This record gives sequence, C-alpha cells and structure tokens, in this order.
Amino acid sequence: MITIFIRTLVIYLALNIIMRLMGKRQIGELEVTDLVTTLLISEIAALPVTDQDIPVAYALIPMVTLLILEVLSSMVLTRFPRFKSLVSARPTVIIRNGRLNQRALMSLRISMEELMSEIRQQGYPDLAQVQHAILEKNGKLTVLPRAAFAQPTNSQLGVRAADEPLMHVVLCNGVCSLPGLKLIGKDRAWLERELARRGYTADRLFCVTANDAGELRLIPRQDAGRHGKGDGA
Amino acid sequence: MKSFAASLILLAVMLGGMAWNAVYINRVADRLNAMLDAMPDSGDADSAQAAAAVREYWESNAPYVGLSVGYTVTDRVSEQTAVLAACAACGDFYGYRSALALLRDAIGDMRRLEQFSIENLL
Repeated sequence: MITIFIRTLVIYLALNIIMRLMGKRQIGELEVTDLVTTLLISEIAALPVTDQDIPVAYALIPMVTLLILEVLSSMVLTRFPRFKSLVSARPTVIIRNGRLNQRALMSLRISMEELMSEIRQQGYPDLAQVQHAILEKNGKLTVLPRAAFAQPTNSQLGVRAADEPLMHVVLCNGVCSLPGLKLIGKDRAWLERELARRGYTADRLFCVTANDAGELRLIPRQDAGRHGKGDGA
Repeated sequence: MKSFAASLILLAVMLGGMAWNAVYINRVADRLNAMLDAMPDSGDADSAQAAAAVREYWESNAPYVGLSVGYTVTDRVSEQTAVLAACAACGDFYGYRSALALLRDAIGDMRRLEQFSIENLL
C-alpha cells in the first residue's frame, strides 16, 4: 500500500511540473500535438500508479521525453512557421459572403445538420443571416453575421461608454497579494495606508481588489462584525 | 525560453541518468555471468559457497536494479539465485543445473532493455 501511495505522489508531482512547463496552452485550447502529448502523458502516468510490477522510471522517462519533444516542436514551429502546416490544421472558410462552400463541407465531413446546429448555437436561426463561417484550427466554428443581423455596437449607436479598468486581487483572506499589487504598480505599505484610511485592518477583510487608478473594492469577512456589500472608494 | 532551457537541462539529466543506468545494469549482469561461469558444474561444497556469493551479490544490487528493470524480471533473478543456493547446499545436481540455466536466462532478460537493438525496439 505504501508503495502505491509513494508512486502516486511521485507521478502527481511529475505531472504537475510537466504541465506547468508546457504552459497555459495545455489547459485551454489544444493543438493536435498538444492533445496527443496530453493524452499520452495521462495514460503513461497512470501505469505505475496502478501496476506495482512497473517501476516508476518506466513512466518518468516517457513523460520527460514527451515534454522535451513538445517544447522543442513548439520552438521549431515558432521559428519556422512553414512547418506549421505539417502538424497543425488551417482555418477553413465554410461560408464566404453568404455562399456555402459545399466542397469544404464535404472534405471536413461536416453534415448540414451539424453546421446548422453550430450556427443556431451562436444565435442565428437561418443560414441566410450568416455572412462568413470559418472552422478554426481548434475545431470551433466562428460565425460572422450579415450586417443586418449583427448586434449594433456602442459606437454605431452613438453611445459614449468609458472603458472599465481591470481589477486585481490585492488581498485575499487577510493576506496581502504581492503579485496583484505589482500589477497595479503599488506596494504593501500603500495598501495598508488605504485600508487604515477606510478604518479597516487586513485581518478583517475577506478580499480586496484594486485597479491601476488606485480604486479599491473591499469585501469584509462575514464573521468580522462589519457586514455589507463591497465598499467602493 | 525558460521552458526550453529547462527542457534541455532535463534532457541532459535524463540522458546522463539513462547512460549511467545502462552501464550499471550491464556491469551487474556481467559480474553475475562471470560468477556463474566460474561455478563448478556439480553441486558440491565449493558450488554451495559460490552460489551463496552470487546470491549475496545479487541481493546487495537488487534494490538499485529494481529502479529501472521491471519487478517481474528482478523477481525471477531473486528466485533463481535462491533456488541455486538451496540446490547447491543440499547437493541437488539436477536442480542446481536447472537453476543455473534459468538464472542465466533471467540475467539476459535483465540487461535486454539496456542494450540497443531493433528487436528490443520492436
């Protein structure tokens, strides 16, 4: 039992490090190589966890090899985009200027029912409302409607709207978040000053967010005695 | 760039580790084979002493060999060294010869993954 426990720990740690090194792409949209790597790694990682006859090295070696291949291939593809078409699909235009590209649809093996379903899911009940439809590299369909069916923007309506600044978490569970403060160009002393000015101490706050302009939103702890909504500054 | 550098370092460490491991496994296998070659053909008192030495050598190296060689193979080697020692101690000639042959076979399997060949790759 202790062997399985230790093996699980080792594999868990190795997978975490490898996924971290692979970057955010592994977590979000996947390219073919990324998907293959992720699937293989998850399969390989599970082997020594469940089978005591397999040494942990049998999983670590392939996992590290896959990591190296993944990093090297992304490096090569970034430097030499010409090779990208070898491992990565290109976007395909399915509807251009309202005209359906039947040949593309056939080669992608997408039925009209599937296309209509995708278009409906994006809020367009009729094919006639679509100006362009492009099947992206990640397999998602981008639908661009005809001007008559597109939602008007603020600028088209003549509405003046101010851009909302981005808020960052600068304090969480009473603990100061230095990365958050760094993002808005402030430091711990500034935060403590601002909190003191509003009559708060860090330990009485559940969360504090702030933006580049130094505006704060405070969420007090529910058990701190002072309840209520965020306190805007 | 950090990922690239980290990958290169990992690659170097892994290749170094794999090379060292291959040398180590082959050395253990060579030593065991040499000890088996030097053993007498019959299961007498000398062979009992030699078989005990083989078993002792294997047991001191088995935990490290087991880090990279499947436990099925290492268990076979352990089993046959034990059988060899027992047969040599009680003078069982046929058991002794049989254990010797099976042990050589297990040692061959042990070093198989550490030797580059198309057969192993496939």
